[in-house]
Amino acid sequence: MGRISNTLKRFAAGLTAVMLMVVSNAGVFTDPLASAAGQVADRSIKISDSRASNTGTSYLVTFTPFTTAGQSLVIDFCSNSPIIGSTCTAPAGFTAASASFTAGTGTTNWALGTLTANTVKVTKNTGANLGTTAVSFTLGGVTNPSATGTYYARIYTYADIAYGGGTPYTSATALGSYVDYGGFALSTSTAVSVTATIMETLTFCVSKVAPGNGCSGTTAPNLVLGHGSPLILDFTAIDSDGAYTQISSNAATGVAVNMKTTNTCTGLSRDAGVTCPIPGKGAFGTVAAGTAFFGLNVANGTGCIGSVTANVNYGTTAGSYGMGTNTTSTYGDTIQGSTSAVANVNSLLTFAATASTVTPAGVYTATEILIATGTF
Amino acid sequence: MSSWKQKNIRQAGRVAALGLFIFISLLVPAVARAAQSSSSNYQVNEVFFGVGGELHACGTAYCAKQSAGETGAGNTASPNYQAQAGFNTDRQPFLQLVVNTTNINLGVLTAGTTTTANATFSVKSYLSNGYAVTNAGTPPTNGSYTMNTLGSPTASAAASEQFGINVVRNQTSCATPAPVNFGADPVQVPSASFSFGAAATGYNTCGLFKYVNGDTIAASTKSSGQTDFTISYIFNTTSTTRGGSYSMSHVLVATATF
Repeated sequence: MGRISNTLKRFAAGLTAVMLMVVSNAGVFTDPLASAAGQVADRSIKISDSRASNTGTSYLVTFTPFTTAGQSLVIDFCSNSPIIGSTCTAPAGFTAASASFTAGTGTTNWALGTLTANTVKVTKNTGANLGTTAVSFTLGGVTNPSATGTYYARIYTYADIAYGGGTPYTSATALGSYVDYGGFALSTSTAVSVTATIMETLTFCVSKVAPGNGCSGTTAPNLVLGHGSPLILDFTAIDSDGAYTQISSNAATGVAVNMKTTNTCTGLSRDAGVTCPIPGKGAFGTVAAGTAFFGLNVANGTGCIGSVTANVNYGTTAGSYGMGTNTTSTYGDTIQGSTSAVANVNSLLTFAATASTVTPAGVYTATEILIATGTF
Repeated sequence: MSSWKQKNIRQAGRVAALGLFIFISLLVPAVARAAQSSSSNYQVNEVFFGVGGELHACGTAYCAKQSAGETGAGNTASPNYQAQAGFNTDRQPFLQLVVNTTNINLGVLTAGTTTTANATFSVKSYLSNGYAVTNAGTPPTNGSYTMNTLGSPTASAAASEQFGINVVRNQTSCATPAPVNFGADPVQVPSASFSFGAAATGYNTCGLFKYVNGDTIAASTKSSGQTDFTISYIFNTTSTTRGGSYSMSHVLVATATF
């Protein structure tokens, strides 16, 4: 009887042991995540722009596979959950249907499979199987969700190029026989819109003496050409006098300075500008005493910031002068300018004249108007 | 004899019943996990110790998470591992970036005078190995012209054209004096026990400013509750800074690694 009893006890104990073994291994049979599959590590999706509805967004996907030999993968983008296998609601406005693929680490020659608005398939194509070191690739041309806030992605890798072989992936709740998996959280947000205004500036002055910064210390630019006492022009000499311009401007593409005369002719007049017995020089060039002319030489400007250069019709060879016919036009003739913003740049303008032996006597004048124009 | 035999049979039966009980009771948690996770497959899930709560208490219309007598909660971490303690932790990874300041209009800038502004944003990330917030926007532009930006941490200089930011409190009393007192250090919400975001290198020194598109300006090295950040902007212009309207869409991108 004792033997029977012991036998029964052993049977019961054995049954219990078997049950415990079954229980302890139950997950192996019921939980696919606990089989060969593993969670990918160090996974992230970096987006190039977080603004809602932003188009052309790049998504840099990085992860480290748990299982080697992955040959294809699927990414689902969901608005509700990153949990593998749960229902996936496509984020409103999100689309990766026209995404591009750029290989990264470990994904050379991989290529896109089929795409839907929120599902991206990638296969190894002619590339190598995934290892267990970090891999990456970029999905370009993605449109972000239309709402700001958190959204999710899920990734599954497969040991074949068919996204799960006999039971391939068909949806976020029918994943097929995947080997690795992982969830991501992403976030769209608004951007900080920053605006500021810088006023367009132009400070221009003409002075007999060189101006200080900010057109300080100017004097009236009244020039008298001649020699001797009193000052006279004659055929024996070329007489000159100078004045300065100073330009400061934040004009993006610079400042142009034009000169126009109040005379109807380009030279010096003794009849209120009707005629010019001492004519304008014309083209820039050398001059000789005794050949009546009125001309201008412009030196290149120097100063704090930037440079102002003479127009080729007025500079810069010393002793040469010019006076174009455009000085009688509505907007005058360009004599100098800059190609960028400048600050406190002074330029010397030298006016010169001489008379001939037949130049009529009289008081000759010309009022030259200088006009600075900035292009912002 | 018969009594002795019946006694042994009853004992054997009790042992078998005990085994059956253990068998059934060990299956029950799997059912409970499924109820909590509500996925079609079983998942690695949160583990619940103790009797003071329930993760998935549902009526016909509402569900609740309950806890009572909870003795410890929050994040605990070593250099390689971390855990979220507490009855009501969630198993869903999470990342949230909220930009609170959407428009900054600085008006007219004056050459030689520093103009400052602030914007705030908040980040929290759960079940992650940390996050990084990066610049994703070009500096202020005026047509084709881009304002000169500070490529390395630099002090504000009113006589130079500069655009830069940092993510800390700026004061005139700092080692590198800020032009004015403005900005704020990151604020951990609810406390530094739960939140760990910090200004990133290059953007974390009072009085020094920088702006490089793509740079990380704030980060956490582990799962973090909410951290409120304040961006401090500086604008310095000169008489030759191109005139016109400058605009910038300062996009911030938060990326969490799980």
